[in-house]
Amino acid sequence: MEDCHTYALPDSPYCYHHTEDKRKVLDNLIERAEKEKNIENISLVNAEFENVDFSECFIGFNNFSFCTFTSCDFSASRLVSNFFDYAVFENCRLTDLEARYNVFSGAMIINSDFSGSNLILSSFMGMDCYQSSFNGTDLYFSNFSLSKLINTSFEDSNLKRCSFSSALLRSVSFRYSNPEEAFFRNMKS
Amino acid sequence: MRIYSHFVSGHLINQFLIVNDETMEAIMIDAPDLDGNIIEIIEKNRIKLKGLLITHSHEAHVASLGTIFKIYNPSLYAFFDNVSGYEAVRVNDGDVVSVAGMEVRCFHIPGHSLDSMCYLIGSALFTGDTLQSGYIGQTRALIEKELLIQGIKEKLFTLEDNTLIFPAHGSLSKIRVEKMFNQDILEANITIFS
Repeated sequence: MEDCHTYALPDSPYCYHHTEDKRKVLDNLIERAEKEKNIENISLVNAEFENVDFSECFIGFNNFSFCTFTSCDFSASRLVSNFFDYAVFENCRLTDLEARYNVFSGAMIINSDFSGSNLILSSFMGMDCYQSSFNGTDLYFSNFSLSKLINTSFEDSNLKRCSFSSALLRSVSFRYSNPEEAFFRNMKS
Repeated sequence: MRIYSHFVSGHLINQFLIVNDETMEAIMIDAPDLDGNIIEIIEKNRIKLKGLLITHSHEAHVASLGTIFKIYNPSLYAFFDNVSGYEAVRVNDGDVVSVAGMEVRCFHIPGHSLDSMCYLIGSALFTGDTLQSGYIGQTRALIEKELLIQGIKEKLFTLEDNTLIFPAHGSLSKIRVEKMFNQDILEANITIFS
């Protein structure tokens, strides 16, 4: 499509949105996640996933912008350089991740659990996050600036060089963490 | 095209290696402290390092030039024709050069330093310190900040929204994300440009 700027699917001239059989593309991906435990170099924009098991997968170099993940399990997965910008995560399990260079900017995270994950060098800029947990995470060099964090906890987490500039924090707990090593500037109330 | 990223803990810099899948020839972005990991990536994958693109010549970004030239023999590309005593191919704003079989589009955006360059390879934009996820590069004076933001808006924010940003520090980003959430640019819109 000449006027479509979305990245094409692997081995296809079309992006997910313009492909004929979206269901087949999704089924292939889910099968790869469940059997091969490996998802690499795929661009799926605006796709919807419900109750998918992505646990213990290697998920690398993918573009999942504007996707919706409902009740999905990513626990103990390895996430490298993925784009989840403007995605929605609802009731998802993202515990014990080994993650770096992932982008969650503009995402909406509701009632999801990131506890015990290594989330270094990740971007959560402009994210809306409700009733979620980042307890026991390593957020070294991560960025939550301009995000809205409500009823969310960052207990016993590493916040060194993590930025919360211009973020709105309501009922957020930093108990047993090191907020003195994080950046707080222009906080909103 | 395949992009390897490596976090150099010495100066907290992201180092990138862009590999042409067909020829296994590669481009390296900047030369911060060299550690065994990046050499291991090159050697293990039998990568031929053909080009070294310098985003700017601050010490942290060119610290390992000597070591790299002892091991490999890449062509050096930078805004100035000499980087720390090493002869470079001069690139300027708007230039398109072919390195390792890949087309590299060059953008000169001064502000953080006089010789700050950004490089677009495919849909991946390597911004050095010029544009980082949520920030812009540090400047010493307001006029430099104004110049930097103007350059980013005119040259980078006019690229396609899905262009991926690979900065020298911090997390990755996209043009669309930076247009919406880059705090330094949003603040400057109010304080400098209003």
